[in-house]
Amino acid sequence: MLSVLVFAASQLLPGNIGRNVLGPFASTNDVNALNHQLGVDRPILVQYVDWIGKLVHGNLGMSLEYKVPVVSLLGPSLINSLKLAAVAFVLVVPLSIVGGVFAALRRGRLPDRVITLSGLSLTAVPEFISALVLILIFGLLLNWLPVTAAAPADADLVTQIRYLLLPSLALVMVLFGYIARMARAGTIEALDADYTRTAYLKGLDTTTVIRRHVLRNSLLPTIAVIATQMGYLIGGLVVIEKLFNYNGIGQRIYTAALNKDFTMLQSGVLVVGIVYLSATLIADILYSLLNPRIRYAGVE
Amino acid sequence: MSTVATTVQLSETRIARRETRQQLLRSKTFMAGAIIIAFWVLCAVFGHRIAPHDPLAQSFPQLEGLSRTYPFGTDQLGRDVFSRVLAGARDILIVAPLATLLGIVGGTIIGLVTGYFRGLTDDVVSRIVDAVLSLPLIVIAVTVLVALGHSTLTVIVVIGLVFAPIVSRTVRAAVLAERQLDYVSASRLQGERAPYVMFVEILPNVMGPIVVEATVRLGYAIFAVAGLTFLGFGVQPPSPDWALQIADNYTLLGAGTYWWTVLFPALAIISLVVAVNLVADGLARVFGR
Amino acid sequence: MDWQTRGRLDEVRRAAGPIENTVIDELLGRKVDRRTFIQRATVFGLSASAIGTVLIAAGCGPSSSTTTGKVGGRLKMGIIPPPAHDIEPHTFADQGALETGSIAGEHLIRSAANLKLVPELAVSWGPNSDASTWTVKLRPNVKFQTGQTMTADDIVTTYERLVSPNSGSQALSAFKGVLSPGGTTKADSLTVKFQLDNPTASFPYLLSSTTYQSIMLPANYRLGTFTSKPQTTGAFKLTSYTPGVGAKYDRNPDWWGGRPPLDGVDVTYYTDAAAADAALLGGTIDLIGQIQLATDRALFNNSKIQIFGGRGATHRQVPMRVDLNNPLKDPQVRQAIALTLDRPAIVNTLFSKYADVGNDTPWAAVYPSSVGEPDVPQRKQDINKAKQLMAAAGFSNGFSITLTTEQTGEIPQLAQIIQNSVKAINVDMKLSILTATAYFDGSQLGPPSGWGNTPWLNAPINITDWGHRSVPNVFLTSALQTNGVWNAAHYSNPQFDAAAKAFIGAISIDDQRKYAKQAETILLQDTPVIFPYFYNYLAAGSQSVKGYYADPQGTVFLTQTSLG
Repeated sequence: MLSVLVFAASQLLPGNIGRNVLGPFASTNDVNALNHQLGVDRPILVQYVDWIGKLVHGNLGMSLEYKVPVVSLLGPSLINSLKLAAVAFVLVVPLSIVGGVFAALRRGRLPDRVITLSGLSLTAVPEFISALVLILIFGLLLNWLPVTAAAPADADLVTQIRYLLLPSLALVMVLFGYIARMARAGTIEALDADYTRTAYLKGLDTTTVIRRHVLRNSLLPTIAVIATQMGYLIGGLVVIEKLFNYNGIGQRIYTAALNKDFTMLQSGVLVVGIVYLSATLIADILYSLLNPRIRYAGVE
Repeated sequence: MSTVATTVQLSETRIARRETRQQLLRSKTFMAGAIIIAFWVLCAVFGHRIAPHDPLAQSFPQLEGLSRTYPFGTDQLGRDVFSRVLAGARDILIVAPLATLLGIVGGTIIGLVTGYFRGLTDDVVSRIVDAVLSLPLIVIAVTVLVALGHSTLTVIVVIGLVFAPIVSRTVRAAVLAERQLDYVSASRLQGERAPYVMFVEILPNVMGPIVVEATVRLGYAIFAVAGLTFLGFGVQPPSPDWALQIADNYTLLGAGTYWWTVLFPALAIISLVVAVNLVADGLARVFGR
Repeated sequence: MDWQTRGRLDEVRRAAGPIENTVIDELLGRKVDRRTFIQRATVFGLSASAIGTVLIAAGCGPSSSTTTGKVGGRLKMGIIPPPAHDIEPHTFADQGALETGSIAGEHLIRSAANLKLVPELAVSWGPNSDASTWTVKLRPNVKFQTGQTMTADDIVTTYERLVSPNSGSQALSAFKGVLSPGGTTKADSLTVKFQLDNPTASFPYLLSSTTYQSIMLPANYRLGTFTSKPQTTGAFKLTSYTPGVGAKYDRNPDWWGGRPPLDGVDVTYYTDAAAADAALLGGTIDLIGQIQLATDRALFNNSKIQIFGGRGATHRQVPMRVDLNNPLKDPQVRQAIALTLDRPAIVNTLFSKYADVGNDTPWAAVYPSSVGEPDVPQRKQDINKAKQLMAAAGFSNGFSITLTTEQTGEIPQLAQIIQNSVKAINVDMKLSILTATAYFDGSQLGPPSGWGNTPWLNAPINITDWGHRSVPNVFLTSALQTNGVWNAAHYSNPQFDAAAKAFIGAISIDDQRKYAKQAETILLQDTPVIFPYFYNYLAAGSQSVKGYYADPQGTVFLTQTSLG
């Protein structure tokens, strides 16, 4: 379904492919010849079937602008985006969950206020602003962290992570408030639930209660939220990738859109969509895995 | 008999509304947000007049720091940053709300239709909605804007179109809950046709979640518009739009200098988004999410 | 001068042709300064020793020698923006591709500082009596990175591709009316003859790195293989290229010029000026190929950064279409708009001291042929006169117009300045700032078939970026002459055409100035295009970069550069 949508949308975009590739001085004959060679003058259905066929074999076509296989460019870009998302995850998920749970436990009191308010303010900052501030303070003024996200080619894992810290921090700032709020809401709901009261009545101490019962419930909405952010984290980071000069898939798609490189654009958008759908699938699986345990834990 | 019933109904609604209003006025978060928004709306309407200097005049010394004449300093072309921040409220407060409105209207219609009819329509439309939702906003926006040109109208339409599916989800969920209720079946039994049931019967009862969703979406719309303007799509120079100001001046930050050209428009955006979020929070609490 | 010098001078004069003698006369008659003489002498192929002799005879003395730097190390360079298309030299059209190709590629002649021409793959060149035929002698024993030896066949094949209308060559606009297919022929294995369509005194510039598409490639070069196999003659081999990300170059051990100081170059592409600046300031890269005050302020007045570069003819053109049914049709209106601009203030705001004020003609201050005050007055801001002209044209109430332009460098700010300036004559100007890709997008078949639909050749008023050229010829032929391929103003004035043609054919500096004055005066009268300024071409590097010459064209010339 996604593929149909992507293909249809890209067909609607105006622009004569042959003209774009050969440049403005080429004669009309040459343009038509190239269009024929690329197969874009065939009926749409034929083109679609052909495209799907090639996709299944891993052939994403040739980039119209760079004249190299799309896969060779999207592959590394996708890996880069995944690396950045991974570092951001590792930072933001524990931080938000701890923050959210803690805020819920101290509900209404100062720590809760502080955490909720800071989360709210941070989410209100558009990512390009937080990125600029981070670059300025940590990169240029204090010189603690490198301002380019891409480490030199032969760098080891630690160095790579160091280079990815600043952009990840920008992402953490964007997501923290949202995820923490979800965790907090989930925790509050769990704290108020019957099975928690039962657990307390049974004489279990706070830490065990939290660990065994409450935590799982607060994790559920968090997982859902994280999954929905995947599309953004992988393909929507155009501005951050630009400011940190990072070759992520967002950049590739953005450049492809600007340059009317249709094959790259189609494939890129499709890849992002697939990543998102996979993430939601994984989230669904995780959800169902955790869910029955909760019921049992409550009954225990 | 029916007129008495409707009069009773009407006054009930009026009482309910007044209660809601009082609750809102008492909520600190709501009021804080509302005041900030009101301030910016005032700037949007009267900005050009209450600003100490003409926001577009390039007559002042270039890149001056903060001073009494120029409380926020001046930018690269010698324009007063303070005046530009005040006047810059106008563009974002036109584009973002319009985009949100479009998204809400579109999403509501889709949500009502899919929630009410279920079946095949629901399945097909939901699939498409799913597919669209999986793509990040900026990718869709950039692709469309590159193709269609970057006028303000296109930006509004694009954001509205991307928001509609998200809104439709919420509306659909609310509609699904409503349609089980008696008054819906009563209406159907009375022989009312589908559009009437959807828009006259169900819609007023799902207004609560829609209003909350609208304010949440507004926050995201401001983000989206700011991000797109930063990338170069959207309002054109020399507009004092905040995101445009940041885009124009952020290269100056490199050495930690000229920070005032970027900080104040940034604070303006942040304050507006925070205010909208506060209002959304307040509304959510009152309407009982 | 003493008899020894006199004797040598006479020898030089006897060996030289009539054109070269004219140039020598100009120096001895004090009509040109030392720098201009050297520039013109190199154009006409006078050898270095001959030039030295003449200089001593004129009492000007020898110039300073170049210093050598530390050997070793890889230079990390940042290039903005990345090449938008594939890397195929004869199709180079954007800055990114130019810089990428120029690190590895070489040309017949190198355009060096002060518009001087220096032998590269050619060792000598000379014109016939009227500059309609040029003979070029090639450097022997030059090896391509594939192992083949360079001969005249390679030059012929490369140039035929450049002037062919079907190859996708982006150099056509430069060679149109000068060199056509079949004009390049092999005289012997190390000599090439260029038969021109029209006498062109400055032809060697077209054979130089100024025509950045003219990177020399083997006769059997296969299209599309530039990035997969190193095949140029240069000091560095392109060993790796990833679109949008970067490129790697390694030293060529068989280079004809010996051993360049650097071991290699690692290029990273940037799309964002602030990101590149931050990388330079943070030490991730050592050099950025192109910077500007307006977008890279953080690099100026910074003790960690050196600014390379000098005056050039890089500029912006503001063409106003003369053929549309709107107020711009009237030259008085165009003059009025030009008169609202406070040029020194504009230069100061956007460039501080790094630019020269323009006078609405392509004759930049760096050209020896340019004529300025008192013969051709410099246009200054004059609001009163502007208002008078508007009234005379019947537009005292002003009018509305949209200016279309690209989001490049300082252009958006120039647009806002112009928009603000024309308020004084009641012109309500709206701005439409497109991405560079969108601005240059569309067909551009050019006259006589038409202007296509691309914004930059069709908008009523726009701002376009123009790169430096060593002589103003291509500005005249493509932007201002009738049916010029890049004539965005759709300007057509037979008198101007005649003056421009005469200028291009003129050999002596006096003649050039005579026709320049004519053309400049006509342009000031008609004002089809506003040239607000000509700015210095600047590059920036860390303090460890030595011996970098920032070529105003943007070509990256690293054979003399060292790290320390």
